[in-house]
Amino acid sequence: MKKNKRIFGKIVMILSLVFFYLPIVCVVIFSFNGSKSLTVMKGFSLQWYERLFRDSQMMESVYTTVLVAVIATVVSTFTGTLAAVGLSKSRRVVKDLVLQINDFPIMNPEIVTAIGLMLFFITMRIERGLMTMILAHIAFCIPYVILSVMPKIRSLDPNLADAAMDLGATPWQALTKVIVPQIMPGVFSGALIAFTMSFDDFIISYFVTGRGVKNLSIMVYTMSKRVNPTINAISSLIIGVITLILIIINLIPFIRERMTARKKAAEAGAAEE
Amino acid sequence: MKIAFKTTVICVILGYPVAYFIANSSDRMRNMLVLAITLPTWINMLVRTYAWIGLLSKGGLFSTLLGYIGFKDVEILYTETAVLLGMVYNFLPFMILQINTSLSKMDHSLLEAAADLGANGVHSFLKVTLPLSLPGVISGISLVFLPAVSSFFIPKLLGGGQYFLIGNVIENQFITVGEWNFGSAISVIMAVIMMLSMYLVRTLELRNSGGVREA
Repeated sequence: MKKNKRIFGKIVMILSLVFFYLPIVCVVIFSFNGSKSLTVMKGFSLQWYERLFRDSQMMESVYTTVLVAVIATVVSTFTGTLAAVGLSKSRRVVKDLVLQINDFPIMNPEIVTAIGLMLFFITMRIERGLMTMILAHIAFCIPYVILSVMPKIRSLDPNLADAAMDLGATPWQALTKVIVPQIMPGVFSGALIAFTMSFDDFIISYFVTGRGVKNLSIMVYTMSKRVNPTINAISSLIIGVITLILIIINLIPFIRERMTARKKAAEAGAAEE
Repeated sequence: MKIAFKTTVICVILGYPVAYFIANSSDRMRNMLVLAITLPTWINMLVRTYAWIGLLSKGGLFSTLLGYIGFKDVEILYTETAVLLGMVYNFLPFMILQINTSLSKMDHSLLEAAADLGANGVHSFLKVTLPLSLPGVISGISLVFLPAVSSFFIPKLLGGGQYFLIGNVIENQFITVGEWNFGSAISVIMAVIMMLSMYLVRTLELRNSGGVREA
């Protein structure tokens, strides 16, 4: 009976993984399709990629996406890290409250955040366009950065900064030379998460953007109303970029673990000798 | 509204066994599986929804498969089933991950204790595992239901604009109709529901951890 259960579990697992990955694989395969059809494969060709790179509107949206993502990542990582460092030093009540508020935009349905930002920009009379998109992206990336930096800070010795300053470091030096290197892994993964979130965002961008400024997702959305295999090509590119980043994120702790394990083994070996 | 409700129910039914399996596998395997399920959620929802259009359209992979088992010429795209499928596909990972977290946190000695006290498999599952994983299920439900209710492009792409969810209503009010007050009111209601469910999850979790300590 126990064995039956195992097999059943495995089948469920495999089925669900197929369910999750099949559509993604299909998109990638059909982006190399020779014909316009989304259902029948007719030979291998790169024509959709070629068309993609010739389409100036498309390339512009790629540029917008990357620009927004890079700026949003840099700014939100910087702000988020500082916020997290500051929070770790504040009183417990403040910290709990801010962290709770920090959770809010992450849990909130995206469309609500989107509308909030849009109304904010309108009331502030900021003309919607590239600028508002960047601002919105920074805003929704910061919580994720804080969330990924916070645990790293929590594991730090709280007296570390004081010790550094006792040894003659200025507060700025204590921050940049002592604290930041220690929390670097958290900052790095926060930055990567911010980048993927921004790169991928559709709903918020859709509401806060202005005339003519489109990122890739908006492009896909406007094009998807009719059959257009270029979408497959662009989707494959998006999938490729995101997968690459995710692999990097997930490999880093793995590699680090390996390295420390090796170091430990080497130390143990040295000790034995 | 109804579609979002159905999506949530399906996600619980499908997600629970998967999460249960993941939680019961070895550490290494568990990390791999969690990674495998998390990966797709990072890829743009829009892209993944678009993928289903190709799969579901006439002559596509899905209807061909259905044709083999005897359902000929079933039109799935632009029906409620298509919307439902797209939603389950997009939101199921959240459910699995939530339930898995609370199942993995569970103390396994509790199950042994239950078995020692004479509970059989079904019994100990119902009386021990299920109540302890309830916070996961609830936060999973809120993570599935709220995005499902508020998603507007899935029904638009897969349902051909025939099916309306709150998300579509909000989008419509803002983009097409221009009645911002109404749209904002709906958004506020959704945000409040979300806060309530977060609060509920937190209290349940507190009570559970308290219970474990007492035991």
